[in-house]
Amino acid sequence: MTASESRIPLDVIWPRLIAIADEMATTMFRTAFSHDVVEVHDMSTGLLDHRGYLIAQTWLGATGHTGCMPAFGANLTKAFPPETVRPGDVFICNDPWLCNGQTADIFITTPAFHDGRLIGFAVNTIHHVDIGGRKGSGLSEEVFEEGLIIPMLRLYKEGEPNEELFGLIRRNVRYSEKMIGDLRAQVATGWAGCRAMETLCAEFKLDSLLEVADELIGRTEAGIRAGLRDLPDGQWHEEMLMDIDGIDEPQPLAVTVTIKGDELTADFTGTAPQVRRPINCPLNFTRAYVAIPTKMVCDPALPNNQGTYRPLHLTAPEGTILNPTYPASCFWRLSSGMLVGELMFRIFAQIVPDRVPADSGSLPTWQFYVTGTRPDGEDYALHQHAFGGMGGRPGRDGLSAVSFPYNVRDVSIEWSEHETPVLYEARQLIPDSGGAGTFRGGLGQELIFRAYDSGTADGQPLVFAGAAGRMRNPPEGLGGGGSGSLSTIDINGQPIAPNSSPEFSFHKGDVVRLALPGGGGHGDPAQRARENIEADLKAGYVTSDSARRDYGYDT
Amino acid sequence: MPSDRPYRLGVDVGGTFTDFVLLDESDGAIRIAKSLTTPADPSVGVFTGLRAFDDPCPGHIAATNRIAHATTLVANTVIERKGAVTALLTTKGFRDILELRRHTRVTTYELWEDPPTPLVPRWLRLPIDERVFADGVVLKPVPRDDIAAAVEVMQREGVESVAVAFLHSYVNPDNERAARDILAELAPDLPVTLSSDVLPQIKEYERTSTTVVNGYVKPLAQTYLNNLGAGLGDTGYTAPLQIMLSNGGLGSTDTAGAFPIRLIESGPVAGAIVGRQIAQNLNLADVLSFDMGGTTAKACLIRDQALPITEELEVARAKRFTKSSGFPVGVPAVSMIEIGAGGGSIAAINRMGLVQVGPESASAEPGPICYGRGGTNPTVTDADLTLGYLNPDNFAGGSMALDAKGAAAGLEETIGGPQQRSLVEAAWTVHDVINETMAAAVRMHVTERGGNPEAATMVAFGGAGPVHAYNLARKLGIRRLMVPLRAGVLSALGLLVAPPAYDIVRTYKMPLAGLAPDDIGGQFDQMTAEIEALLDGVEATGPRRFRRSLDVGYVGQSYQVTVPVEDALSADAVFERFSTLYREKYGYFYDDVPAEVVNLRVFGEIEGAGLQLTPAVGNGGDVASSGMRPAYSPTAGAMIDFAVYDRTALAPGMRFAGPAIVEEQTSTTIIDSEATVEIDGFGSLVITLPGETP
Repeated sequence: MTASESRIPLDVIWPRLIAIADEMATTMFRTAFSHDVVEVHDMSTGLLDHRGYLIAQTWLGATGHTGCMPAFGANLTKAFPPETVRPGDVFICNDPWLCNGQTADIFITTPAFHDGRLIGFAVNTIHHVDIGGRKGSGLSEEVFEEGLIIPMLRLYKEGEPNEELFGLIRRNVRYSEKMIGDLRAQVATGWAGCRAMETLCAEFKLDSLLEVADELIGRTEAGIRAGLRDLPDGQWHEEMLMDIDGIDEPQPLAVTVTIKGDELTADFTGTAPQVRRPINCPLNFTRAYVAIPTKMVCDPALPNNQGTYRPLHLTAPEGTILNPTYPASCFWRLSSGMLVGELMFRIFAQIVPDRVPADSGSLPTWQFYVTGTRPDGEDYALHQHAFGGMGGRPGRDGLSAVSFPYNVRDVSIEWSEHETPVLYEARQLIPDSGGAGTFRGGLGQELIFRAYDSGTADGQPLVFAGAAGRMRNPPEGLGGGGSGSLSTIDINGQPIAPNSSPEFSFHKGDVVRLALPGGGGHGDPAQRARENIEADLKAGYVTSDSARRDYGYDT
Repeated sequence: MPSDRPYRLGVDVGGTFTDFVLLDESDGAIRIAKSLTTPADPSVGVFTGLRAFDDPCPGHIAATNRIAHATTLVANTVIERKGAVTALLTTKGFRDILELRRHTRVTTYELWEDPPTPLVPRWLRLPIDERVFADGVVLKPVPRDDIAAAVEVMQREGVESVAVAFLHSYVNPDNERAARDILAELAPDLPVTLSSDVLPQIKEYERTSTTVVNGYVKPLAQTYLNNLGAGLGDTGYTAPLQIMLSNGGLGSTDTAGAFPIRLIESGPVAGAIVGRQIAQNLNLADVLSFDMGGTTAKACLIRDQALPITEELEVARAKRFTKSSGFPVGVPAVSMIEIGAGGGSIAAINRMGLVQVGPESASAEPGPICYGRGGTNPTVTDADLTLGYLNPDNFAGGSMALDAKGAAAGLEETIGGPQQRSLVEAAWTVHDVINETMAAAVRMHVTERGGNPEAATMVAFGGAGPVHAYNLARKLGIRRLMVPLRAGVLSALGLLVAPPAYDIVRTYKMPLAGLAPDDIGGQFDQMTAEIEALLDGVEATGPRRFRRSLDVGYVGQSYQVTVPVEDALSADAVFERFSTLYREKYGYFYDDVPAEVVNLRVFGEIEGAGLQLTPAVGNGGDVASSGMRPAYSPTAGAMIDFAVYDRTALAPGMRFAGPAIVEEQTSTTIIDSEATVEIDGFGSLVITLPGETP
């Protein structure tokens, strides 16, 4: 027994730390007000040690949120060095350059103490129902149009709420009851996390989490490094084009990846300069989407923490789309940021094509608002996510219309129609949208909707604004697989111009159709098993025309 | 009840064994029997096993007044995908609801972890050009031609059951009912399940999934229940067959056959009922029932002696025990957690270099190494044996000798050696890790219910429950632990103490400010009448007890608290009660945010039908231990001597102190030093843990 007495029971403590993050998520779901949190899961929870290092995160939660936590932790401890932090403090921040690249995502952080010493922080984020500004406008030119920017501030000081700050927020946002309710839920979530961290330190008689943190971060880091070491050294380059509102020519996103030993460097030189549209992606979010594919390829099984990010290095020229400078607009940064994920998958496809999917129509996720006015003059805002298909995978078809890799949920049609007078005519898969291949790309989905007549004010427009992509360059196949379908947005059958942050108005009687792209196919279509083609035909995933054309299949 | 028919029979058909428990109400004697489950036709195993009572209780068949039956048939049918060829009629434009699920994957970082494929393939998801909006307005009625076309497809494809789930049918079921009527004309023999009957609640994916699972299991469940009922009649039983429902009540075979979805938790729920019974007997406010067997552990927090009800059940999870990887089933069920943690859970070193235990299990075959039946992976039972918690010569009443050497060798090889840990250390780590896994799940369950584990009394049972309960209770900060008599087979007893009961939940969204008591009262009356009719089908006699309640939340908040309605409805009274309950649950309350009613609930049961136990009078006195044996004490951090007690020698009122081991035929209870034990009037061990909070 003696040999082990100094040993930290990591077998028990590591799962416990993750369980604490999960418990925080549970507390959040039970106390939050907005559907985006409870149903959509556009949130995350985690634990930082007293240095601001990420040590655990919940098993669910939006990838972009968690991927930004290490950078956030560093910014937090810089703004509030340990000696300035008191029990009962609660910190708030949504600065896109300090947090995760968008004003709607607010980080709430709560310090935990044991025996009078700071042991760490419980951190959580919510994509808020509103933060003011132009409500997700696709036309914003500067971040000032995108709502309230909250630098690193104290929302509570030693247990006392900062009512002036609450008042300022309340006065600047729509649906303030819901929004403030969610903020309070975040505070409750933080306190729940802190209590559990304090209990853990007491139970295991730990003076701090330092030793535990170093051990588990070290193991996750070693897992990623081992994965990188298994890959050959070398340098690879990828580019994609994205369509930007108001600019005729599509603009490049570029990356050069160097793997040397167990380190990876992603250099985004060659990426277009930042633009006066909200698709600029602050560096924290860019980093998150470098890390996600790397983790999926190198070591998906180990819990995510600070260790994941240590072997990764980013170079991105300032003032570009993937490292814009304040005050660039960035509300829909996911339309460029998630393409960073695709660039990384393509890099890995060059290195280990048998371990990654083809291009995915689910990159980027389409997220949008439809705002309008009811007959009594009250405004409403519908919020929805829509998803393209995942690329075909070695050995298996891509999943259709899936939140990959984001992993958030939709808003149910019934809930949406219950809350807002927008009538959906369809949410279904689009036949033939998945790229042909030995392993077919997942299908994209279509959403068709219009104003619900009796719920809509006469003469008032409805406005659609959101993130989109892949309207000119489709998700490509891999290893001989075909492309997934292009995406389109049309109004009464008339397509809009390709755009990554579309904004347009429509009226009662107009029918809007969003067609999301399918994933690319993986491998030569001629190699696809006959029974899989037949099953696709029977299910209507593939039409007989396409079976003949793309697979040479004749009945 | 007639004294010439004093027997009450419980039959629990599990995956491996069918358990029988027979209560003689004239003297309170309880007898237990077991037979192997016969999966092809489970009634065969039932009729075989019943014969075990012929000798001790001649004439028991004719003298049985009630038969309560629990079965895992429904859950297993879905898990093994052995249900009917099922079609789904959906609103045109939305046939992919079932496949799209909520668009999420099972885990965030794994590329190959997929959700399960839908129970209805796309070619059997048949669109009908109908539409109802959220306000209940029918925008398009059901076209007869669409149904006719669907029937053609169904007949061609050999469909055996059909589910109908249209958008917004929870508000207005007219279109679903119209579809049912046309189906009845065109395909009269096809069993139909309407979503508005199964789960009249908002959220199309969850409702559709529930409806489809019901349709998928319906033909099989009906056949099984009919066969069983007929077989029991042929055997000579005159007592009615009652089925354990997921909500912890007993229902008729008719309801169970029409809504087999209500049987998903039929098996596991019995344990929670035992927990409630103990809470009632002892008038405890918070009871955590903890049931640990060979492959899984279950826990349920019972507050205020009422079974907690959830509508967030899932069946057939693709990744075992991972949330969101199965098919949602939204019918009311007792809210409990099930964890892949049991005596057979396998221990190994995982990729993090940590000891991981479960969820893979060595099951009964080959079983733990110490069973000597060819198992080679060390399990929780092997660790418990090594720690001295189990008696190798007196396991299962001495019916089975355990191989302690084999267990030790397996632990050494898999964990001790690679991790440079001593044997005891390796064994303790396995025991501790599985406890931590269970503690994490219990904490989550308790948090979800707004409770505090430290305030609860743990009631432990199942073969492995009492072995792990003490150290689990310590982790959770629980101070009082109870181990009832016959802990190893206790959950079957739950069948005997459950009353016939039904509940109905209906979506009804309305701000509290605009509360319409008359309308709600009318809805309540209608729901009550529906339950009355259902209860009539179980047992026509006996006084009924109804509980009405409202699910109330802040406008926009997606979780609600259930507010009982005891008197006349008024918005003020409801808000007042809501605020009290909300504060109790979450520790705060907003008086500046408006609240709304979201659901109406009615629960009805036949009063006094459950089993009432009367406590024995304790005469106290000392108790002698039957010996000593070394076992691991985490308090001491070493193997120390534990006093061993024979459970059969313990009588009400007796007291002793830890470290102690109490052996009983079906289970073993471990009590560390500094704890005290008292035997209560029901024969339970009441263990008080030392005061320090961990």
